Amino acid sequence: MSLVEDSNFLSGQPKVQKQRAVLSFRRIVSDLLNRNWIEGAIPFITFFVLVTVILITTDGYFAPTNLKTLAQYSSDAAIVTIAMLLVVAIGGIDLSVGSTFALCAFVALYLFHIAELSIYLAFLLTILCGTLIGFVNGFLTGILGCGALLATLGTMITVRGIFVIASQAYLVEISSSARFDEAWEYIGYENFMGVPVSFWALVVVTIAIYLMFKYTRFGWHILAVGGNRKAARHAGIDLKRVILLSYMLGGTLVGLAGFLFAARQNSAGSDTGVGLEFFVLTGLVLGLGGFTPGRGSVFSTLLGFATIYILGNVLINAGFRGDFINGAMGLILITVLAIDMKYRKERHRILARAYLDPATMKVDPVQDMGKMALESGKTKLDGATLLGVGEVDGPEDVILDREGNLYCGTRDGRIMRLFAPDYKRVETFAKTGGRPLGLAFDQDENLIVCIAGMGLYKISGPDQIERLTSQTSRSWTSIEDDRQIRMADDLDIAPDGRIYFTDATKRYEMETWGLDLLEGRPNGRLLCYDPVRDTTKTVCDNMVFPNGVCVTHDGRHLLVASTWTCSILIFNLERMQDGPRYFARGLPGYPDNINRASDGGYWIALAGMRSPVIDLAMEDPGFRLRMAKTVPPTNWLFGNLNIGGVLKSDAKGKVIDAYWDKSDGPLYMITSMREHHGSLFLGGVTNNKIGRIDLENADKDWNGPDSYWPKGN
Amino acid sequence: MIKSLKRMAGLGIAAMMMAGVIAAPQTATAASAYEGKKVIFIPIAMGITLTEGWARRMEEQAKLHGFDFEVRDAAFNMKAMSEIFAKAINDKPDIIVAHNPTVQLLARQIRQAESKGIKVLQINLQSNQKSTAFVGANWSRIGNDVAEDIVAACGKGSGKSGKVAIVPGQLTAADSVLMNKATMAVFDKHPEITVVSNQASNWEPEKARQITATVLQQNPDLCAVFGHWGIHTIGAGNAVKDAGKADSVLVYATGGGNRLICKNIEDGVIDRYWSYNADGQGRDAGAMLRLMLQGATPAEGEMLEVESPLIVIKKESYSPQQCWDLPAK
Repeated sequence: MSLVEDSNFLSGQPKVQKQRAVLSFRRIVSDLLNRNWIEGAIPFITFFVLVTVILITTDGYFAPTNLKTLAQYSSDAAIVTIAMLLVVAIGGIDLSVGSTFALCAFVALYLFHIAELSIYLAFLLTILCGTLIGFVNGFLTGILGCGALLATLGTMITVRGIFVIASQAYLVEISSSARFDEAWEYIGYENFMGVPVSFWALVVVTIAIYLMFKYTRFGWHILAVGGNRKAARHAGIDLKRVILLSYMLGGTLVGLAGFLFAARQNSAGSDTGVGLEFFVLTGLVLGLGGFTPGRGSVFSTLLGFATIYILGNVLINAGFRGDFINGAMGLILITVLAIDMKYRKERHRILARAYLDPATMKVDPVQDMGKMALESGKTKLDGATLLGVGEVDGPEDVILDREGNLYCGTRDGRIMRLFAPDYKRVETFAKTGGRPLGLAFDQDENLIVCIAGMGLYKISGPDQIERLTSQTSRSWTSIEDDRQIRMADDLDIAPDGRIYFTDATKRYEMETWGLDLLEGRPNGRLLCYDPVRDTTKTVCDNMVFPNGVCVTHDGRHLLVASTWTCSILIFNLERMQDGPRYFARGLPGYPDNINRASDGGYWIALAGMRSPVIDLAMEDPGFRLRMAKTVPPTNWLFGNLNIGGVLKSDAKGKVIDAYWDKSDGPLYMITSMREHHGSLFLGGVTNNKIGRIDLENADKDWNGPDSYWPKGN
Repeated sequence: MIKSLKRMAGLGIAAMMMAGVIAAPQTATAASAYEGKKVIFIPIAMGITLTEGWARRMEEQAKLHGFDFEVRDAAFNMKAMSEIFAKAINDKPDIIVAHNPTVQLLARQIRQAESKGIKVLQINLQSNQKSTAFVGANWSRIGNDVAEDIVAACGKGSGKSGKVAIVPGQLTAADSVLMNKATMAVFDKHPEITVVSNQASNWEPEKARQITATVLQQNPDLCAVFGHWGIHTIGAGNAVKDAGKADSVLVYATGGGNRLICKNIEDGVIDRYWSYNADGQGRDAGAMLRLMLQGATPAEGEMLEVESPLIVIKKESYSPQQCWDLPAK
C-alpha cells in the first residue's frame, strides 16, 4: 500500500499554511542585542555623530586634500594603537609606547642624518630598536612575571631618559643636516596611488593583525591568554612565549611608527611621543568600549582612535585653544565611556526581558482516539523489558544495526553500543562532545548522528567520528546570523543518499528548548545535506519545532513531526519547493521521532500529552509572557511530559494503535522507538534505560537497515 | 631775496594743497589689497603673553583693514603643529604666519606653501627654510651680548667659579640653535667659563625648575643660569631662590618682556633680561602682513626682514616702563 500507488492520497491532504518569516519589535530588539557587532555600536554611533556634526558645521573638512593630510599624520599613532591592542589583548598594558616611539624616531633620524646609512638599513635597525624594547617589556612581564603597569612604567621612564640624553647630544646636528634622499622624502611625504605612503603602512598592518587574530594560531593564543590566563595555561598554551612575542610584535609596530614619524617630520623634539600612550589608550578604550583583554577587534579600535583623532583635529582647526581642547576631549570621552558602560550593563537585562517572544498559536483539536485513548487505561508499555539500566543516560534516539546491536546517544555526549542478543554488554562506541540526538544508518553502515549544538556527524567505526556539516545558508530576512545549526534534532536518509535533518529551533538550546513551546513560533527548519557535493541547504524554513524525520517506505516522501502543533507533515521529495502537507494532525500529544513499522505504517513517539489548558494558553501570547515574567519556571504551565507513549499509524497517517506508558514508569517521556525482528525498542530523552516490548502480529524478519538498504541492491 | 623765497614757499604749499584736493588720499589705493584676503597664524601655543601679544596686534590690523585673521593653536604639540600646517596649506590662505618650534619641523612645508603661492611670514623663530618674510629677534646678537655679560660677571677677575648652566626651551628651536652657537663662540675665547648643563626644558617652567635644582646640587658654586626664554626661566629662577642662592647666582633670560617678567625681576627671580618686546614685534608683524598683502617681495634668495630692537632690563637699573601690558580681553 505505497503512497505512490494511491496517487490521490497526497493531493487530497490539506496543505500546511505557509509560515511567514516572523518579525516583531521584541524579536528585532532581542536579535540586535544578541549580535556581537552590537558591542561596537556605541563607538560606531559616536563616530557617526561626530562625522555628521563636522559635515554640518565645517566646510570641506572631508575634502580629499584634508583627508590625505589626516591619513598622512594619523597613521603612525594609529599603528601604535594597534600595537597597544596587541598588548591589551593579552591582558597587559604598555605605557612605554610613547618613549619607544620617540627613541625609534630618534634612531631613524640618527641613522639617516648622522650615520648616513642607506635608508633600508636605517629602516631595519629602527624596527629592531622597537622589537628590542618590546623584548625587554615582554621579558619583564612574561618571563619574570612583573606587573605590566609598573614594568612598562619603568621602561617608559628609562627609554625616555635614553632618548633625552641622546637627543641632547645629536638633535641640533640632526636639524642642521642637509642630507636628502628620494626614498626618505617619498616615505615621509609622498603618495602612492593618491594615498600617503604611511597610510599604506597602516593598511598593511591593520590587515595583517586582523588576519592574525582571525586565522592564526598565535593570534588565537593571544586572545586565549588575554581572555583567561588560567584556562589558556590548562589548554597547554606556552604563556611566557606568547606574552613575550606579543610585546615584541607590539614593539616592532611602534618601531615602524617611529620610522614613519621620523621620515615625515624629519625632526624630533623633547615632546616627541610624550602623552602618546594615553592618547592611544583613550582611543583603544573608546573603540573597545572599555579596557577589555581577550578582544582583538582591530577595526573597532581604529574607529575609537579615529574618533578622538578627528575630534581633536577639528577643534584645533576651528581655532579652539589647546588647553580647552584637552579638557573638552577628556569630558567627551568620559561621557561616551559612561554611556557605554551603562549600556553594557543594561544590555543583558534588556536582552533577557525581550528574548522570550510568545506568539498566538492555534493547535488543531484532538482527534477522537476512541478505544485507544489514554483514558482507556491500557498501558501497553507497562511490561517492557528494561535494557542497559543505569548505563545509558538519556537515549533520545535508539537504532539497531543488521546484527541487532543497539545504539543510542547519551546526555554526556557518548554513543553507546548494547550488544545483541541480550544487550547486557554495554560499551562506549564513540565520544562526540555534544548532545547526540537522532540516529540513522547510511548505505555503507556508517552511523549518522544529529548532535545538538554541533551539527551533523558521521561515525564510521568506534571513535571514528567526522563532521559532515555544522552550517547552512543564511536566511536574509533574519537579523540573527542563522547559519549555524543550533539544535540538530533528527534525521533520515533518502535512497539517493541525501540526508534530511531538522534544526528544531534557532533560538534556544538543548537546556532551554522548553521555552520554544512557550514562544510558540516557527523557529525551526528542515535542512538537507548532500554528501556528494558536501553542501547543506535549508529546505523548509520557519517550521514549528520540527523534530522526528522519516523517509516513507516508498522512498519518495518525507515525514516530519511538528512537535508543538501536534501534527505530522509530509513532503514530496521530488517537489520539496511545494512545501509540506498534513499527514496526521490533532494528535493527542507532542510527536517526537517517527520510524518505519514492518507493516508499512509508522511508529510515532509522543514525548508528552497536551491538555485543554495549555492548548488555550497557546492562543494567548500575553498570558504566557506574563507567566514567564512573574512565575518561577518550576511553576509554569506546560505540556504534560509525565506521561506519553507510542502511536502506530497506517501508511496514510491514520492512527491505528496506541502504546501508553504508565504515569509512574518505568518508562516515561518516550522520544524514540525502533522495530526490529518483532520487537519494539524504546528510548526516552530523560530515561536512564531502554525499553523493549515484543509485538504481536509483527513481521519477525523485518529490520530497519534492510528496509532502507535492501541487500543485493 | 628772503621775501621771494618765502613767497615761493607759500606758493609751493598752496600747490601741494591743491594737489591734495585733486589726488585721492594715498592709503585708499591700498584698501583693495586686503579685501577677501586670509591670514592663518600657527603659534607653538596660545595662552602665553608672547603669542597673545602678537595675535592681538595682527588682529588689530586685520580688523582695521578688513582681511581675515585666524589662529590655530598647536598647544605645545609639535606633531599637531605640522599637521595643522598641512591643513592650513589645504585651506589656501594668502599668508601663513609660522612660529617654528624647531628649525627643521616645518621646513619642508614652508617650501611647499611658498611653491603653492602661499606667502609665509616666520615670526621670531625661524626655520632652516627661507620664506617671504621674517619678523623677530636677532638671536646671534642676543647670544653674543648675554655671553659677554656673563663673561664680565663670572669670568676672570670676578672671583666666581665661571660655571654656567644653559636652559634652552627646545634645543633645535632657532633661538637655542643660534644663541648656543653665539654664546659658545664667546665662551670658547674664555676657557675659565664652563657650561655645566645644557638641557632643554620643553618650555615648561616646572621642568626648568627641576633641571636647575639638580644642577645646583651638583654645582653649588654655580655662577649663572642662562634660560633661553623668560617664562620657563621663571622656574629656573625659583630653583635658585629655593636653594637660597639668589645673591650668588645670576639668572639671565630673554623674551617678550611682558609685565610678568618685570614682576619677576622685582621679586629677584630673574636678574638680567634681554627683551625683544613682543608688543612691538606684534606691530611689526602686522605691518609686515600689510606689506606682503600689498605685494611686497624680497630679492631672489632673500627674506624681507624686520629685526626687533632690544631692551636690556637689569635688576640694578630696572624701571617698570621697560615692560608692556597685555590688556585683559
